[in-house]
Amino acid sequence: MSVLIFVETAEGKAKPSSLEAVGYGAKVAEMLGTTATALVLGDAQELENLGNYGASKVLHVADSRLNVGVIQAYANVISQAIEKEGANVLVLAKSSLADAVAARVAGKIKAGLASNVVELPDLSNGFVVKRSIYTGKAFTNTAINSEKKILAIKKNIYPLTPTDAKASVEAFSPALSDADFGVKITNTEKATGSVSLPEADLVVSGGRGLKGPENWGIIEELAQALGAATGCSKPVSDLHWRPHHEHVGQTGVKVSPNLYVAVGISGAIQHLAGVNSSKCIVVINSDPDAPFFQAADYGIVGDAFQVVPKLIAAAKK
Amino acid sequence: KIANMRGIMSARSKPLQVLAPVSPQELTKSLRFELPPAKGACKMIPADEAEKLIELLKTEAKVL
Repeated sequence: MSVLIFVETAEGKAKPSSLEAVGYGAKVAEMLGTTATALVLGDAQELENLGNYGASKVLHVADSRLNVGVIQAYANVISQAIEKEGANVLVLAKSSLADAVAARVAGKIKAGLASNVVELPDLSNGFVVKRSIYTGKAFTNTAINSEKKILAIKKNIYPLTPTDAKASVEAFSPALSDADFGVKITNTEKATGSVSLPEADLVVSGGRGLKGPENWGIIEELAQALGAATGCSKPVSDLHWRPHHEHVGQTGVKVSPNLYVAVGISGAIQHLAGVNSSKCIVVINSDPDAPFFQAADYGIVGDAFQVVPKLIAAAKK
Repeated sequence: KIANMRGIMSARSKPLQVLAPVSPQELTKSLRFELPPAKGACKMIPADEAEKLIELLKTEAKVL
């Protein structure tokens, strides 16, 4: 009856969003009076440290074919792990890979799936979780009626409170066939840049107000001074001023940082959809009527080329 | 492709199989909906005092 947490890795290390999922899963296990087991696929190191976040055991499938996210294979492994552990709750951190995998596992094991979960479950009357819906415009309380339950949690809703506890690591060899690897990943182009946007705690973002790609120096400098990832609005990425993976919005990356700094972005509703999970929003715009100010916590009306250098200087102190 | 007259006329005498709708088992159910909490007012900082923003983000918002 345990809780199984799927841990997504990047370069053999658990992603921060997955560490939050381990913490969340461990808490749910505590609420249900059971144990939390983490599941890691592919080559990975320091797995016992997942105990720092509450996992008592780690199942490691050290099959290097799983180093890339082959959805079919992942879904098969997770379903077998659920059966092996007798888990009736699966927790994952929401990501494009996790969404695809969770949906397939839900179909395979006939489990109710709640995605975009923002709180711990309410166990007072069944199993009810609060979910963010319509790209952050509303919330719903969803009851999961099936015996097995799958929760895909949003980034930045469960705090990381690591301890020194270590988890026991167990090797797991599920049955995998060539049919699971029907999709072959032939090439991976990694986005360069020190901080990954979906995992970032701080984001500095620029829009059309910056007038041209040659002016992005101030954004990059401010991001570097704050240790933030860089983002942009859709027009900027459509104009090829910035790479596609930096596009934040309804059809781009949905970020969940602690701080989002928007420079020269008007704040159209499609951009807000990608940004409304931020804990704190700062808007810098020369237009005092820019709609973004309605959604902001702090605002500066001014010329970005005057304001941002001052922020860079203050941040570097 | 446009159906020809022969096809249209012969379709009138083909058997029409009516299937009963099957309700799949409901594994999840939305119980209620709510709007996000209303956002507080935006704190404006004058452009010539922009450095104050960094201070506020550190001390007040505690995000830096």
